[in-house]
Amino acid sequence: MGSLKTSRRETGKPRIQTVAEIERAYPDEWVLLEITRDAKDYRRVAGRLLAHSRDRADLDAPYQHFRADHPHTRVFELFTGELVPEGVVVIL
Amino acid sequence: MPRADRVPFLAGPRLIAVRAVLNEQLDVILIADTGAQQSVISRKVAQRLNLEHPLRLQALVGVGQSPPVPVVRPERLRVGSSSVTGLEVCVYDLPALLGGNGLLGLDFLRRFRVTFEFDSAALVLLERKRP
Repeated sequence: MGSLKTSRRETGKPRIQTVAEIERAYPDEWVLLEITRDAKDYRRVAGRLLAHSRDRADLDAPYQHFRADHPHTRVFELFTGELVPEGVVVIL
Repeated sequence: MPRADRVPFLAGPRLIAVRAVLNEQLDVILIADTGAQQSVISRKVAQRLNLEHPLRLQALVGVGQSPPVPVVRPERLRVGSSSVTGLEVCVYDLPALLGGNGLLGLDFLRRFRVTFEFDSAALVLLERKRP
């Protein structure tokens, strides 16, 4: 089940997190992040969490909603788990 | 002097994946498609080598064949600070169990002198000299 942004400060503004922090907080999930600070190392990229879910499809609606209001803002979509599951060998 | 762009691999030793930016709007994870993770031989070759008794069974995932897929042209594809404009890219879902968003193919890579630095986990893209 998907979830819209869950991490907020008491001020009500979404908290800025790095990808590394998000990976620890939401393991094995697809996440959608509004980028507020770029970095060469993707784990140091920081931003506001827009949505997270084990089902990638759950990011569709949050992305559409965000994009409607922020047409030029960079958004990072990534999976926080292993790229390839255990027990699987990939040939491309 | 050409500029070398060092792009960190994503964590994990199995595939080479990097963060890529499409149209300066969406950052995604692309798997650098350099071939197969594990060598594959045909059944006939295995038979000729008398390799008929498997050590184990192993799940495999491959792209294989697909019906015709859409081709689109994003304005810009960027990896690190290296970008290519006007590429034509296919639209095709990787198997759902893979945690990537697509493949970084030769159409992008061949624009650069490419080095895979496995010891430092970096994809190095060097601008090619213009003729």
